Amino acid sequence: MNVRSKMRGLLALGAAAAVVLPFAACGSSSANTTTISFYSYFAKNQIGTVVDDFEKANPDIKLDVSYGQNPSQYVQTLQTRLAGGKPPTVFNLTMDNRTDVMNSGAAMDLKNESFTKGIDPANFQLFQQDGKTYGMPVTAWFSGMFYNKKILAAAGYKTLPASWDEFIAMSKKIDASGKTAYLEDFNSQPSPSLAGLLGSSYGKKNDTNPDNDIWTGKATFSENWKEAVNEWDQGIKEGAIPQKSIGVSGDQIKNEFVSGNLAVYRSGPWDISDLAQSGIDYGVAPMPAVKGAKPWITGGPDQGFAIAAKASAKEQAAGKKFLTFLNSKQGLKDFTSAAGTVSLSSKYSSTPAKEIASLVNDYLKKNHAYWINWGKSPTAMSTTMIAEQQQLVQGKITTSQFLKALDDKWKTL
Amino acid sequence: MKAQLMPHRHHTRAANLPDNLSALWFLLPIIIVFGVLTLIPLIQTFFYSLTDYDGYSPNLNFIGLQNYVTIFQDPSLLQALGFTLLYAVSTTLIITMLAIPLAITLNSAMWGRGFARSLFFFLGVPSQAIIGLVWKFIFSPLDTGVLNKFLAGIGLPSVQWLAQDNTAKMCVIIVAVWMQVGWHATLYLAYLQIIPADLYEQSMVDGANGMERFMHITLPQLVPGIAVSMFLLMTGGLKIYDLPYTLTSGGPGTSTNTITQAIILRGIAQSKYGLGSALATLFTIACILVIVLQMKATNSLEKRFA
Repeated sequence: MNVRSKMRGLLALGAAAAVVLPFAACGSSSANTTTISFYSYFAKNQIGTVVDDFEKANPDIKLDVSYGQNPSQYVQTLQTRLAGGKPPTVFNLTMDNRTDVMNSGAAMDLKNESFTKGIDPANFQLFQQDGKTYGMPVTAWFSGMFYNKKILAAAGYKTLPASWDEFIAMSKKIDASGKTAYLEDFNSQPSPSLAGLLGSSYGKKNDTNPDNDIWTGKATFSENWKEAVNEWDQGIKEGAIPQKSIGVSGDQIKNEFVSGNLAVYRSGPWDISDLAQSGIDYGVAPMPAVKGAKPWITGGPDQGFAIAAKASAKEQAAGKKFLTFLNSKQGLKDFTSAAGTVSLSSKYSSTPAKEIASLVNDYLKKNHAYWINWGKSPTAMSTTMIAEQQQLVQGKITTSQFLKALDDKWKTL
Repeated sequence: MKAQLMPHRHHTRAANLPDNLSALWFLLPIIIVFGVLTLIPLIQTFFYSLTDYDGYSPNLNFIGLQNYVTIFQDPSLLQALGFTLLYAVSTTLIITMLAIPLAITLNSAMWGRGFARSLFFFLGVPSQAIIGLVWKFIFSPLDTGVLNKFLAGIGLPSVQWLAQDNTAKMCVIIVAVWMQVGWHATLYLAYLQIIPADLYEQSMVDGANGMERFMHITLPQLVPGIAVSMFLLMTGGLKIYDLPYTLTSGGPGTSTNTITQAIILRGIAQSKYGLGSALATLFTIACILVIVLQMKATNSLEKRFA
């Protein structure tokens, strides 16, 4: 064998190694290290520190993390991976896919796992089915009304009115002054102001499990949502919910607020740093309430963490260790500080930013937070609600037609 | 005579065999790619359209034509079909009517011709999704929207561009025309440049004016170009997704929803792969029908002007 053929042999060996090694890296474990995949709904800047600190605390486990780009892309990619029989070991149950994933049996039952201790059982409700628990939420999200103090003062208000009727009156004064009183993004989600009215309406009835009667078939949208939808429609007719909100994105609305053209918009902890940079003088208040009710905020448990039912016993054990770390003092501290959310666990008490502390202390911690978490087929129901609420704002349908459309869709799913 | 011809045919086929085989070898890669990326997925789509597959569970049941029945009973899907056809037909006609005069202008000797050609061509280079996001700011219904600011500048009231059904549909079509007209003008430009100059010279000697030259020389010579351009516009228009998705998200209501949006929304986002597959199957058949009709029409036009 001459030098040339030896070189050829070495090159062939190198090429073969280059092809094979990446596949070898896909393997789930080596003698000392277990590698598990984690497909995260949360962005790297929100959960990256948790991953780093977990790997430092557990040198025998490596997380192969990929991050979803946006909610719909996350749902689609996870669905493809589950349908293809290649689920990530750890993944998130989102508000849009939780019922589908639970029905498919892709997530393992976490009901009797010790790492769930410290989280109030009520927070698991969204991720439970047939007596089993498929996801563990460790944080809660929340939002309220952010208002420009200067514009409100010019209209004669020191703070945002607590009732919807007063909010409508204030909007008229601000609109008449040439500024825009209120804009909201109901082009990609259910209307936040309507959700606030629904929360306060349920609060007035002392209903501790909002919407459950609709999900279980004991009531309809036409019955339980009537009061809030009628008041919201009054806001549409009197200009508090302007038609120009249709076709405007959340970013455009924030830009209007930051540039001082908009008096009120709905936001949460995610916008605080941008608002601080803009230097705008703003206040934060709960969502205006229906007649005779106390205001609520919008919010609820965040996405749950799940472990794949198909994962091997070794991978599941590593996944459980990761969930144990998530529900630990260090994990919760890392997660809540980066994501601006609130800990749901007794193992760590997060401190919210001072601007929004009242929303957490006076509403979230007292369970006066509401959001529409559809009992089945969330994407289909959200899509229907978005289309119907846009038509209601355009004045093309009545409140009865709006509610009937939701009832009709619900029956078909 | 017959007896003489038969051996000749066999002889011709036998002589052509090596040529046919080598042609087959050249075509083989594209046949494989077409089979793997188009034919097999189409067969799979038809298979799923007869089931209740949800995209999550491997268990599925055959439900016959139930998904097809659902489609014809759902008004939102029929509305999506209506807007898709409106978009495809109107953009095809408007772009064709604008691109031909634009190409003739760009073909004439003028100062800055090269720059003008590049400018119109590059309008369509960025992705439709990016163009949709940019125009969302231009057509913003807010007073601070680019177009509304301009209207205010000339003393006109604001228009709720994307917040009303008809204006939103118009906006989607305007942006589509804006971004595609330059590309199709470039296509016509290529066809214009192969028209023999002596045809024009002869017609000028005969005393034909500009309109007569356009109607009797330019337009007939452009028919093959028109056929190609309209085919591309119609097929692209029928499968439009990115632009209306980023510009209007299908709203207000469902007024600017397209069939491809409905396929993705129903099939993937709403976990109804069976229904989405049925919609895709019907859409494929509808596209084939529209394109066959269009090709027949352009073929007869070509014969008419040949």
